[in-house]
Amino acid sequence: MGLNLATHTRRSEILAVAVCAALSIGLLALPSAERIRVAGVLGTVLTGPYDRFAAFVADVGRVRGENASLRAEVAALRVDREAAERLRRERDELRQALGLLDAAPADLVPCEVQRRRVAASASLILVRSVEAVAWERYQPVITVEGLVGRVHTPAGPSAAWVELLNSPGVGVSCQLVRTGLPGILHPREGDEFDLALVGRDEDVEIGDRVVTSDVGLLQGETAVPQDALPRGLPVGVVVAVESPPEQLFKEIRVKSLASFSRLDVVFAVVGRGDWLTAAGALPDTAATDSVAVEAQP
Amino acid sequence: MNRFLRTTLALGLLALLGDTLLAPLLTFGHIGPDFSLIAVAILALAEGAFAGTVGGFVLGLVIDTASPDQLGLNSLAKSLAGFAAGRARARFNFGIPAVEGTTVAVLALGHDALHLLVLSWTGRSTFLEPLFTAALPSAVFTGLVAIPLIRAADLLGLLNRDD
Repeated sequence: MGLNLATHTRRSEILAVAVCAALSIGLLALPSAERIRVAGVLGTVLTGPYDRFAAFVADVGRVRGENASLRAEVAALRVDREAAERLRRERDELRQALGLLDAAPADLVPCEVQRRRVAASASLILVRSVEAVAWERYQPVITVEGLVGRVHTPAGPSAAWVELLNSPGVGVSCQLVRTGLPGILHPREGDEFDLALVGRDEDVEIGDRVVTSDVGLLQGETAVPQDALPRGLPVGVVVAVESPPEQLFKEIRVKSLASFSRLDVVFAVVGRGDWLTAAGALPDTAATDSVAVEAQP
Repeated sequence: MNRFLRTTLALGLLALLGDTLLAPLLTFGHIGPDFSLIAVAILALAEGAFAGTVGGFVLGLVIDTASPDQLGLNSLAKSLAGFAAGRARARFNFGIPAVEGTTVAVLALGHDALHLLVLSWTGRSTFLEPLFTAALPSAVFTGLVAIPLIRAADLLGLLNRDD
């Protein structure tokens, strides 16, 4: 049976217009607040599906636009990557010719942060990877933003305690990208650090990027080469520079790129890789193991 | 799908697309065509006063939800316009564009006059000045735009000449 409103009597037509007019006048007579509430309900029922469909169509259009620009960006990045690969090969060949190359490639192993231990002596996180990792003490651990810490103690084939950079007493050998000046990064508070041992007359500016350096950290008169992280891992940005007249060194404040308060997924850097340590500076396994045993958290 | 549903859907689409896509392009100042009123008029001419009244009420209610302070005003004006167009259907001469355009223009003027009457009664607008400066030219414009649309509806077989 088909719906047909065309076959109505004059009485039903008058009834329809009377009902519609009465309903309309009733709506018009509602208090303002009530009218707005009723309009909201009616809008949800009458125009909600259309609004949702229109929003969906707009979203599809926006996503297509984004995809188009992303495709162009990916294509440009591919070209850049190929150029970078070519340059890297050339550089590796030159370094190899000079006997400087440590060619073992580095891999990033994604790890989930499972526990966090904050004590007066150290801030540690327990990270767990899906696959087994050849953990090494002082192995760098990074996020997408930058360096966050280094492996302190392996806790199984796929887990390890990582000492965060802002842990008290940590010192990391770093350098400024723009000038190549070395310095030692010490935690200050939160995500801020001091970059020590940079001469007061050196050229340092706010905004200078700080990366890891492969120069071993000196403790007293003993060089500890296994402390050295691969060169070039992003660490932070200089946010304040002062040169107090009575001091030999600048006071440089660095804000880390990575946030230590929001760590969910990190990457363990396996291998010394492309960050190029000095030739022959591979970690002494026996020494590393003995330090690891002493420093169980 | 029976003809009534087909007609209602087609005219609902006309009102929707016309008011959201075409009307902004064709509106100059306060003067522009009222596609939803044209749709109600065609529905009433095609299906009678009952369908025109109910269709006008629902369409007006949809428009009212966009301006909650006037909730009920469009539904009142469009249901009355649908009723009037449906009642005029018996005496309507299909196929004469001038008659079709004038009918819709008169409906639009009545619709807008009622609109202004309620607004002036509630103190939100004056009556005479907008009636002559906005409502009248808009009604003429609506009548002109309605002519090709009514012709198209007739060619598509939406207008029910046999009733």
